[in-house]
Amino acid sequence: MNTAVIRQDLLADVVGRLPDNGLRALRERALTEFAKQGLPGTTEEDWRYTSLQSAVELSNAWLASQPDLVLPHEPRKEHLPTQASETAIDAHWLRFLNGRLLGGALPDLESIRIGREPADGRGLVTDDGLSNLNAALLHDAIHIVVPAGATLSRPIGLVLANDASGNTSVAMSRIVFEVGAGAKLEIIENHLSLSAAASFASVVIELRLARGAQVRYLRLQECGEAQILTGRLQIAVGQDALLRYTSIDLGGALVRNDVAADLTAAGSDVIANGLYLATGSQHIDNHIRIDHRVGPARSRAAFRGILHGRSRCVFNSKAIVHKGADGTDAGQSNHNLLLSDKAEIDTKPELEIYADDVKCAHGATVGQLDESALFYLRSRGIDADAASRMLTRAFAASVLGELAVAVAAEYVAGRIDQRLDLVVSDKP
Amino acid sequence: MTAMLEIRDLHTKIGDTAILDGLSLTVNSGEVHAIMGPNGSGKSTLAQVIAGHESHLVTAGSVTFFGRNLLELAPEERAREGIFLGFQYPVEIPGVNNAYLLKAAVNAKRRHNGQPEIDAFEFLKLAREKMKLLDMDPGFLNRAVNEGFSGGEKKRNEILQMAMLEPRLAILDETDSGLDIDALKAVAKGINALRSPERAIVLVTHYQRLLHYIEPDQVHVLSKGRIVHSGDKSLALELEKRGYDWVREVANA
Repeated sequence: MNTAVIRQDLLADVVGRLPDNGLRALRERALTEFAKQGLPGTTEEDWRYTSLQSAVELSNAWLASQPDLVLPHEPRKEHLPTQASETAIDAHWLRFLNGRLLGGALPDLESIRIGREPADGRGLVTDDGLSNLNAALLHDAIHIVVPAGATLSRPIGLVLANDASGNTSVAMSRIVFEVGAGAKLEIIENHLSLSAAASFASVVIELRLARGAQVRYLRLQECGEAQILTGRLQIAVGQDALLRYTSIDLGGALVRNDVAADLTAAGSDVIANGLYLATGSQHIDNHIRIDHRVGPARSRAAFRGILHGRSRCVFNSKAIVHKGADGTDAGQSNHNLLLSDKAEIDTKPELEIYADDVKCAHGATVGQLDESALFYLRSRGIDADAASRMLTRAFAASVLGELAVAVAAEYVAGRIDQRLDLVVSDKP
Repeated sequence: MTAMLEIRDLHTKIGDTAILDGLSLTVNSGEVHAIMGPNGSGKSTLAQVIAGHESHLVTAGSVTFFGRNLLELAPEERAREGIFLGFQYPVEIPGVNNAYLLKAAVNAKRRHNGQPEIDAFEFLKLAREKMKLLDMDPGFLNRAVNEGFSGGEKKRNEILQMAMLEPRLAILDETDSGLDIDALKAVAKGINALRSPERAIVLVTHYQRLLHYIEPDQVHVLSKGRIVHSGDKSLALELEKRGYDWVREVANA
């Protein structure tokens, strides 16, 4: 149970002092909603294993610090050094620092339109307290429209960087992608921390896929050791639309990632996979929810985790097959490798089925490195540590083999390798 | 002359169960030995103990390799010293590329011997050469180690690893089991190609079939954890005719 709550008086004061940016009315509505909801506590089933206590404490301290909310000028691109991902992956990169899009003028990227104001605001205020806190403190709300039939030559990359030096220890980002009928788009969401200080970032991304749209989406989370990050990806999947999604968690102190896909028309196809690596006292929670409202449609959620140290990870994926969604094909799996007896995984792939004609499967495993495979490798002259690393990498390889955004594969593989070296050599 | 492998009065346990019960065996360079015996006689245990499998506890006796105490070495150290175990059930390792493992194994040994690592070109050339000898498709290099391989493919892959590592002592545990006649011939060809005055091969087998293709210098019969009978290749034929009960009777007599 949360013992601390966000101080509404301080929050209202800060919300009132934020520059307009066309968002004031929305912020006020979100603030009113948030006052009723607060942040979810561990008494709620979806938050049973993940406490936002540290985020609340950090937020209250930030709100009370009379943060300087109006930067003297538009933040420029130079305020953020070029990140490794930008150099390694050929993409149209948009750079966000503490929730604000850098660069002043909005770029034109091939055929797409990028706007600052949400075209309608629908979805901005929701029944989710965390999303409303995000909306109440927004600096920027970015709206990206991909016209029907468009195909982009390169992915759109989002560098979402947090710099907690100075007074910017709480940062909110919100981006909406509107993908037109038959359009094809690749998206990379890259989370980074620029300083070692504790900070809380909340990112809400909405993805609306019109009929026949095809989106390949990579979330790559490489935050620092003191970063608290909550993310929500809300996806509306139209008729015959296709989504390939991969989530990779490598860093962060407390990370919660919610992915919710709403399959509202027949023929849609959503395949999500993911990998989380955790060590030390990291806490990484992935929650996937897929609503099958109409059939036939297919969804998959397949995540893998590698845990060491005293880390704790949570995996929950739920496919809800609503009444009448016949022809649904849903599958969920979660496999975990525990390298330490002090690490903990709470896993629950779930199915809720209210339709008759469905094909559904789910399963979870938790295990250690395979002793017979270790001996096999050692009997070939590979030393015990190298053999462990080889098998741990192999465990992660199946996710890499099906990375949603292929152009990022080499960079992601390199980052996973680096992180694995560190994780495997860590002591329990 | 120091023997290559000298096993004296070896006793082992797995959990509380005694398996090897006073086994002694001497293997010299250039020799091919066949270890035969009924199921449960300790054949596979002997192979695993020599390779260093940690589930076996040695309670008495000694194993030396060119005079060096083998029992104090980790499995990987034994491999680098030149001991190779061909597994009865080669392990499937999804996500680890066959070529990657082969190269890592070759390089681990080279580093141990103070040699430079093998370069990619030289490695591929060597691997393709050995695969040709074993009638293996070069495509196997790019597959995950043993994953989805048929029984015969797995055994060929073991012999490929052996051919690449050029061990001084190869212990092949039931390499003939589950093979059809073509695979058996290919595997035997690969093994025979490695026969040399500097190398010794120990064939652990239940049946005499493999010995039609690989002629052993000595045949030993294992029963209840010890060698009860040794002879030349004619012993294998005798066993084929009269069965293992005959040996038990001889041993008990």
